[in-house]
Amino acid sequence: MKILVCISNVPDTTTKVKFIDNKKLDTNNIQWVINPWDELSLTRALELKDNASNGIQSVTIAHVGLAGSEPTIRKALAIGADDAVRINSEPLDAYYVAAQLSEVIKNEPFDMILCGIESSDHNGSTVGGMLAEFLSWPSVSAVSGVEIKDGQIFISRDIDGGKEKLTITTPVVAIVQKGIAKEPRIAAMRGIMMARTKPIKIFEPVSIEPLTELVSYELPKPRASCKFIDPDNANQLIDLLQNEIKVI
Amino acid sequence: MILLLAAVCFFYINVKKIINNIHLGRDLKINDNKRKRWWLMFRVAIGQSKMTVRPVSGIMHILVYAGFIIVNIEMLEILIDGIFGTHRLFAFMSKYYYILVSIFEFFALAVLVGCLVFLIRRNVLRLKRFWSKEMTTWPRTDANIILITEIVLMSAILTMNATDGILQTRHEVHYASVGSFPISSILQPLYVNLSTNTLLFIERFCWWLHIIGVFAFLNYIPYSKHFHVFLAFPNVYYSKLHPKAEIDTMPSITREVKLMMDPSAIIPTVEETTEQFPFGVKDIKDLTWKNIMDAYTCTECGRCTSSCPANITGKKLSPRKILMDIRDHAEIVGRDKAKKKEILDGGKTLFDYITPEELWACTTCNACTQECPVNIDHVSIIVNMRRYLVMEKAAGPGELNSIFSNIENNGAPWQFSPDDRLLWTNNLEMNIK
Amino acid sequence: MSVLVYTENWDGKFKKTSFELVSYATKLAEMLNTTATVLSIGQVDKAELENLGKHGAKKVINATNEHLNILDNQAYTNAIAEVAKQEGAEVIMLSNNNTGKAIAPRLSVKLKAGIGSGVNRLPVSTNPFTVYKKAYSGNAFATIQIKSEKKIITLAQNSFELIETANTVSIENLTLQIDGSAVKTKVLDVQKQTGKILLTDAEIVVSGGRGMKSPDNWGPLVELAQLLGAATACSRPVSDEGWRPNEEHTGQTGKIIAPNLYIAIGISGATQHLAGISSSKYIVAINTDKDAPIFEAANYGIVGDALKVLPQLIDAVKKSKS
Repeated sequence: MKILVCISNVPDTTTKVKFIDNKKLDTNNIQWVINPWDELSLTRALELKDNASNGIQSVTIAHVGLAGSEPTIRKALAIGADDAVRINSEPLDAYYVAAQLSEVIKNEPFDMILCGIESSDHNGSTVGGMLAEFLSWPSVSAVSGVEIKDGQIFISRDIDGGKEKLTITTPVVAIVQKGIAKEPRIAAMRGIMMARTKPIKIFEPVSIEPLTELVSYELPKPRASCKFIDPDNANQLIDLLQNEIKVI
Repeated sequence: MILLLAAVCFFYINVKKIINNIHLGRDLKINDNKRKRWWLMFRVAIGQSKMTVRPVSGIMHILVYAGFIIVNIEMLEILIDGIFGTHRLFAFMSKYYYILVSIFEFFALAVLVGCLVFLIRRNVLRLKRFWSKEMTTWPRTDANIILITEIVLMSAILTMNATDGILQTRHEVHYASVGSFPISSILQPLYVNLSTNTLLFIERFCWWLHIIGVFAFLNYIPYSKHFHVFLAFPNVYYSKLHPKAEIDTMPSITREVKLMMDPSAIIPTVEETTEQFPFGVKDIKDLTWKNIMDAYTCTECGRCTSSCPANITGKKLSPRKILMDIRDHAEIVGRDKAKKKEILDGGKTLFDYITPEELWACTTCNACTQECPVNIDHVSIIVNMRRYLVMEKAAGPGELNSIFSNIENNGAPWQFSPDDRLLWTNNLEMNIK
Repeated sequence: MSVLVYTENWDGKFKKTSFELVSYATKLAEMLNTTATVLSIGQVDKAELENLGKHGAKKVINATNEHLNILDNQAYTNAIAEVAKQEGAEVIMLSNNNTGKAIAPRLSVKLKAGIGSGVNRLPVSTNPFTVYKKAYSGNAFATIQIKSEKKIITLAQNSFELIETANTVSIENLTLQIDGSAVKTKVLDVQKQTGKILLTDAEIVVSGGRGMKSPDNWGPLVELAQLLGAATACSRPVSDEGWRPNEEHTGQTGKIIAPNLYIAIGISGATQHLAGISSSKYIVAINTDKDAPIFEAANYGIVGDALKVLPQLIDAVKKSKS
């Protein structure tokens, strides 16, 4: 079985985001990392590969981005992926990214694609599902567990207040969220050394029109400071919540 | 004569096996600071300086150790007597002979008493460090065998001298007048009423018991922790002279870091990146020969484990166990290699003997290396096994992994934005630019 | 060119999020000078469907098919796409919950409709069609223009006020034609918590952190939650230690919630926890440390010992009820 993991390149979660002319992200001093949800999918893919009885031949990384994202792709290879594919273009919007990915993937014999449910920059939650539709593959979303037993795929899907355990045919796109792996794997020294020699195949993008366009960004207004209530007169809080802002 | 030759050959073969096993480890040059090393060996190994930290056991051990060496001088006479059929060849030294043998007798008694005390400490008082988890049946039996053998051998000498003394008074042939010796004289009343033939029998019996016992014991030693009597000296000579807390650097990593800082530098080929040796230690061949010598020198005294703060507070770590495990594994690997087996020790690595839980419990405080009377370096083994886990497998504890990620992404071990680094200066009175 | 809204049902019942969707769709339809049609799939009885009318729906399509009893992403996408084509919908709306996230992207490719996901207010403008949503995990806001002819919007939970109308709603029954062999998902087992108020649905949440000192101190917290009809939650260290069940863990690696009121007791307010609760309408914090980061995110705060403050709050709530 061959697994594909799609990753996106995002600013680290502690970054204080700033914009230039309210249109572009200020990339000065930004530490780029693998999108945390994609990191978890990569971890799960590698865990599945570690178990020889699952018969995973390889884990491939796919990414849409310019040469500047190569360090992030190398990081994914250092963590343990076998090879990577990069489509040489800015990720214009989710539809565009999914279309580009499907152009390359449709010619390769992958059995399962793992994607993080959202990326920490655009929070779109869309690429995975779009990719599945472009490929006409079945998809499962809100996946918090993937197991393989006797060549069959078993998936845990989160539902409101619980979990469903289901099985589905391959090839399939699993759109994963927290719970898929306990902690993200990190790259060992050995992995970093070997990553330098692993192949990254580069494809030029095909011509596709994105369906959406960013107009502007803005930073949130600073929050009003906290109003403190005397701890010996805590009942005032209840009065406030009930009568003034009426939330209880 | 035959016995002597057989014993020596057999001993030589077994010692060679141990030397081969030690050479399963990596090369390491230790030829610096010769004077310092000789002095260290004199002080720690010969002088027993670290043993006396625990006074009762320290002094008893000095007596047994000194006794062992001194009483064995007597062996010279016994060997020559045995080969040439003489009896007490050196008796011609008369007055000096009397003094020498008296000294031997005194030490024989000291050894006997010492070993008795040790037997009591182990089996009656049941001191904690002799009964830890890793002290299973064999290690305990090994210790008891050694002590009992010593007692038997020393008793043999004293009995031999006692009956010899009586036989002299009966003017038996061969038994030249050398007089009775102080300690064995005390035993004489036990035997004085026995018939001459019985006495002859006992005296010869003890003589043969002693010599065979010594040969047998000599050949038992390579299979036992008692081998430390030979290895302690080189082991201390080759100890780590750097300050205890100093951990060695890794040249292969220095090269990697240089490459990371300057990616335009030469990129190694695939062959170069999968070196023969992993980072850190996974198996016997990754340890240095000194580490393996440490394992063979270990006397299983348990001072390391009993002073380990992790062990004292109930963690799984026992420094002694780690050394014992290395010796056990090395023995099987060496044996399999000699038999030209494809898979050594069933494919097991050190990690099948020593669990990560034990390794991560270590605080690298070096209490173990401080207490060890033969200067074993437990900490370097633990640190190198940890290096394997982290640098080859990224299998450190989860907390370490998040520390690494945070240092890589945020420049600090915590999840704070690098932009906030100077926040702490906000409320200071001085102006920081 | 109408607005089509898909409202999910849970065992035949709608939740507040469904009504929010309908309210939004009604208002959006007004902006576009058209009408809003609601699509419900599954076994829902008439009275429940009429509830949709109370929040603005004029027409409801009650679609059924036995193969849609479980969520198979492809089957649902095809069904909704078919209805959308039938109704000539210009804008299709779903909730930004797990189901919406599963279907909306597929629908986008199938209908070649651009998506605005997780919007929390009405479009900034309809020509060009521009929506407003959170970005960078809540650290910024983005205005996005959807350029395609058809559009899809997914609505963030608890972000839109319900409208109340006295509508008469017409219900159209529709039996969908679905090829059973095309349904690839097979559900083997379902595990569900019953009885408790679901954390993700709750309007009021009372949450405890390490500052509560011990699991034995949770009594008053649970009592306050019961009195307020609130769900209980906790921070990561508390669930890691096993003081509270894992399902209660709120934060970056736990549940992300958006209640009307979030009361944080003995919680310091680390970034990871705040990431899970920052969409709350109001945040109240109780902590002994006046410099705790939680007070920077809170609207109201009490610097004091939770064990002394909680009983006062409980008394005050009891009094207000009598």
